[in-house]
Amino acid sequence: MKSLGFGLGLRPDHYDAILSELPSVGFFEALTENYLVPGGKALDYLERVRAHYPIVLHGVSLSIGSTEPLNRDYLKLLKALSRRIHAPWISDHLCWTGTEGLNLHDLMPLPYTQEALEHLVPRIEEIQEFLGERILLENVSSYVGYRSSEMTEWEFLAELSARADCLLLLDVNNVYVNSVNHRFDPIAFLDGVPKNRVAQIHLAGHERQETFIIDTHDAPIADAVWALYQRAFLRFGAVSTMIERDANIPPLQELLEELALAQTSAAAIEAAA
Amino acid sequence: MRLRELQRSFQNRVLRHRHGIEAQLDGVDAEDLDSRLNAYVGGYRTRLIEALASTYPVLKATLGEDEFDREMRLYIDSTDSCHFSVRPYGADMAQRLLGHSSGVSQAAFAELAAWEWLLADVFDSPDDEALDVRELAALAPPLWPTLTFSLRASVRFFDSQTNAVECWRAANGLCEKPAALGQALPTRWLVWRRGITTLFRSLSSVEAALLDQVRDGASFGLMCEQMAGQVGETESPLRTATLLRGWLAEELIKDYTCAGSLHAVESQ
Repeated sequence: MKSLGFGLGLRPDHYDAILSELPSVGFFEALTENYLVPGGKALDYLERVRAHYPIVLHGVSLSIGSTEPLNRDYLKLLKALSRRIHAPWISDHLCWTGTEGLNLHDLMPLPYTQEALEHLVPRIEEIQEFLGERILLENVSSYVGYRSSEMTEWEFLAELSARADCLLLLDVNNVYVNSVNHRFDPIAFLDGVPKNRVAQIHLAGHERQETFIIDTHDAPIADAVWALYQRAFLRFGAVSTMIERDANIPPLQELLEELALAQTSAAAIEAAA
Repeated sequence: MRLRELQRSFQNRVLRHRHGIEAQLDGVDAEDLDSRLNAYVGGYRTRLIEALASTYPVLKATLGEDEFDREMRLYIDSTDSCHFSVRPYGADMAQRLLGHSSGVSQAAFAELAAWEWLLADVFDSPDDEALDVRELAALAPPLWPTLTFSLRASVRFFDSQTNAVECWRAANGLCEKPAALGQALPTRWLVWRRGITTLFRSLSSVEAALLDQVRDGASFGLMCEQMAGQVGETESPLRTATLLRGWLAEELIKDYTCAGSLHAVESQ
């Protein structure tokens, strides 16, 4: 998949600044559910930003891992929105968000089991067939692990993406968060993820608790995540990379400066290679 | 435990605080596992409170941070979210507040919630084009009594019995803050969206009755008859047309239809 360069999450706080300043970014990533509405301000701004930048869609409600049937109404709305804005790709999370008709509005972790793989693969295939394109699935951060897991997270991602022929959105912050929460080597994670499947990278901030880390997206990217990003860039090369900030959202300029750090870091690695 | 049962058990922990999932999870010790699970249990409530605060900002300011938080936690524990989006969550907040107890202030809080929900509904209602007044101006006079109109998708009506709307306006710097939430003269409000801007104003009883007729599909002729009861037959067509012109200028009207037979008359 062609790299769109370096991008930012599209947030309402920045709508006017984006349209007046037209910053030099490669793309914006819109939170799908915010735009699955009949009309109004959000869609109006989405169209206006799209006039200047490619916009990729990033959802939180696909619930690909749920044992509930797929939500066809959601998929129809998603497809229509994607067609409307000519989204270069659609991504969501490798998780479940609820069962029994309810929604926890959270990215709940899956066990890394053959049963989960058997459950996920046909669902991903069905979605990709419906949308007419491959989707990207993101590795989520988690605070608990299942005793029933039969493989590592990266082994699970590798097997899933191969069997379902889907792409991956590698969240480097989530790799780091999980490496602390579940005590594994984050480099082993990066080395275990197949190179040809990673089509986008996320960078974000987190919050450290006493014994674990919460993926809050409310702070600048931590040093340890920057270091891991350099390793990720070495392995996966110039794939589309963006910064996610969902709370404590700073002025646009501050995020652009943080994004410039990612660009500088990537350029330095490329120059040294 | 199979995947389906695992998810049910985890969901029960988050929503109902029911234990059981712990046996399926890795953890350093019970205390650590509990604090990790609380990231999900607490996170669920925090996210929904944030969503409700976004929908009901003036209700939050009026109740105060602590009372709002307490009310919303009670609401969350009694109301699951069933939609893929958090946006529709909290739709029945007004009824919930009203059901708590009787009294003027409770009715006003409920009305404030209903008002804010309505504004949110208008905010992302479907986009449609307003009818251009020039289209009507081109119609032959014999067609006018048969004209019916449709309102734009964003148009809503709101009946208030308290000063909740005034309190909302005050919170948004549009008027002086009333001394307290309480009863007020019954008022019908018209709310709609022009472009991406939400607008509202109060209606006189005459205009409110005519807009009801528009909404219900009454013809322009019937609207004039209703107006005649208020201002007399001579004044009625002009007064009705003046109101219609105002609605067109305010971009309230989406479309019109007229009788097919009269279309034929016009085309002859």
